[in-house]
Amino acid sequence: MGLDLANLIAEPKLITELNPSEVDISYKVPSGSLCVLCKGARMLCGKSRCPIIVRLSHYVRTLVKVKGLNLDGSSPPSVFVGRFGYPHVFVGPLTPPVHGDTSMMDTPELWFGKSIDEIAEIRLSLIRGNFRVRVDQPIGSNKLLDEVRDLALSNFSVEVEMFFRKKPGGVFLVDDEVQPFGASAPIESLRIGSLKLDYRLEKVYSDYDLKASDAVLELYKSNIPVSKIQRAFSVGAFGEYRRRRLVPTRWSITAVDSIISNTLMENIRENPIINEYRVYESDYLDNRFEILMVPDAWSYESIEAWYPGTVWNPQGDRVVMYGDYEGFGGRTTYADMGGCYYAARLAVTEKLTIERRQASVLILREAHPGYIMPVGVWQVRENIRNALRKPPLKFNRLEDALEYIFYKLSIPKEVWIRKSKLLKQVLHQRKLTSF
Amino acid sequence: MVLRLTMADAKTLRNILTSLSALVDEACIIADEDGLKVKAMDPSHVAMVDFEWSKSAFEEFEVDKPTTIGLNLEETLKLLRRMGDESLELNFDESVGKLEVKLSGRYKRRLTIPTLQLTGEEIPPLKIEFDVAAKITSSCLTRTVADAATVSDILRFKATADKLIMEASGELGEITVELDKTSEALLDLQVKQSCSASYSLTFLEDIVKSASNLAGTVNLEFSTDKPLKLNFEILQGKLVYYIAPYVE
Repeated sequence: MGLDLANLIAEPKLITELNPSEVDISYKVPSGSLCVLCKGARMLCGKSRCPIIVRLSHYVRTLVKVKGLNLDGSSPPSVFVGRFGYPHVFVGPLTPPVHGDTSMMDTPELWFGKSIDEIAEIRLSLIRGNFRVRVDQPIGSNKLLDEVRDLALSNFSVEVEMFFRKKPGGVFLVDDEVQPFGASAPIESLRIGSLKLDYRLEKVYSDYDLKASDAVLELYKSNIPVSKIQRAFSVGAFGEYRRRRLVPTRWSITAVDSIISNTLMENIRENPIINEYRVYESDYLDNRFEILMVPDAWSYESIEAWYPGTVWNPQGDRVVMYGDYEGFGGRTTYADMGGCYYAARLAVTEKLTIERRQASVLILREAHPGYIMPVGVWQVRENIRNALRKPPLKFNRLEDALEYIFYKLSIPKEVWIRKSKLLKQVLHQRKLTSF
Repeated sequence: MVLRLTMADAKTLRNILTSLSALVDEACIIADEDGLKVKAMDPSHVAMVDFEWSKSAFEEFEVDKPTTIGLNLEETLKLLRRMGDESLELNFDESVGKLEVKLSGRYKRRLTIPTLQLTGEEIPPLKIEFDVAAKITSSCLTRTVADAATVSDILRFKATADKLIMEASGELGEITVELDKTSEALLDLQVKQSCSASYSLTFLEDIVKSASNLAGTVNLEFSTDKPLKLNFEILQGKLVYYIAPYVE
């Protein structure tokens, strides 16, 4: 279903600014979507602002800079590996139409504190070139893939020229659930400027006997940012030679978070237990986090509550809650909650590792309506890292710690307790040592 | 040689270690002239195991002086899981620091297992008066625990003068198992006063799954909001677990 841009955006000022006649795109709306009725003006979805308008303005701004069938710019570097059609996936570099040092654009560790508009601007100004390839395509058998892999491993931004088969853009999906992404187009070929690999990355890249998980740990120990390890992981730069393969970006993020935190947990289990109840907190992009540390053996639980109108609860009329728990021994099944569980677990295990302490950790998250579009799992990791950088509030009694937490959160205490396995344990499970 | 023992059925050792691994990853086994002993508490101090194996349980049992063997149970079980119908000889020398396991069935195999330097946690004895003592078949307990785990994390034990009730409830539904003197599964029931207490199924599941392989019956003892004692009757030894209550 086509839609006129001028029709979609009711606000005249924005329309003039964007000058839609300059770009040639059509708009696609899922059937039954409220967006057609709303046109960004009536807030029918319940979000505090229209995510489509936020996205569209940046989308169009970038698109007008792409003239013809090629684009040159400086890739941060950034590479996206899709998951649809696995093991035949779309892969390709992301490049903005600007030159110079763009590395910040693919380093989420540096984004904490930016507004949702700034993040949308960063992500939507990256134009994605893509081509389809099998995930286990061997090194050296596909020139385009080899170039993309090298690009992903570069230590600095790389000058890239992408030659497209057709003009990027074309169709803009009007759907309030899609993650922010710039325009994309199939690529014919690439031209890549000089690049330099990080020597630590190069070392594991050229080690054909090192397991992928050991490579991840080695890089993490030498202080390489998680986002960089994950990027290299997704292009299949690690592991035993015959087992190397592309890993969809989304899976690679969770794989790296999970591998690192699993290893940190092994040491945490040996550490002395903290001496008091602690509360850490952080509030960013309308995501409110309260973190409770209990002086007890390691266990971990993460629960998130989505308000109606937020990203993962767009049509609901009540708060939806998800959560996952693991005991001292860890878990063997994938957490239903998905990537956020592992991203948060990484931030928590980092903190306990630095302090050389052990605790039971509960993460409570409320996503309020200001969180209008998903920005990525990094938001959870960095939000929690931010909370844990600050000194905690310390309490001698559990009751006082809980009273503080539930004063700060909007959802009532009883609802959280009903949902939380860890809280129930702490409140009701007695110890043999007290008999 | 500090410790040397032999037994006809190697699988028993594997089952014993599995039942210890329900609570702890590492165990400190004490060997002295009476036999083998392990006392261990899980890291969150909710459950503990008290295990003794008399020297009469072994065909041969020789020990020079009391000695402790620290084992990583998970790693050890990875090796022992592959044991079949074989007889077993076990040697340990503190100065070498390795446990040597010789298995003989149709042919002979020899495994060496690294040991750990563990400082065994001092576990104070529990002083609890129990109001209820019940003897039930371990298959009944295994079944009840598995059923209950499908609906809840907690299993409630109730006892009246002539009945033992185990029940669990959750969002999915409720499960009640009622045993009285006519039930085949209930072998004995002594009740000083009516009691009710709840315990974590996480621990119960792990314990029952491994210990019921070793004993046909189990003695349960509990009181209202006090720990649960599970005494599995094994041959020439004792295998006792305690679980702290879940108080609602």
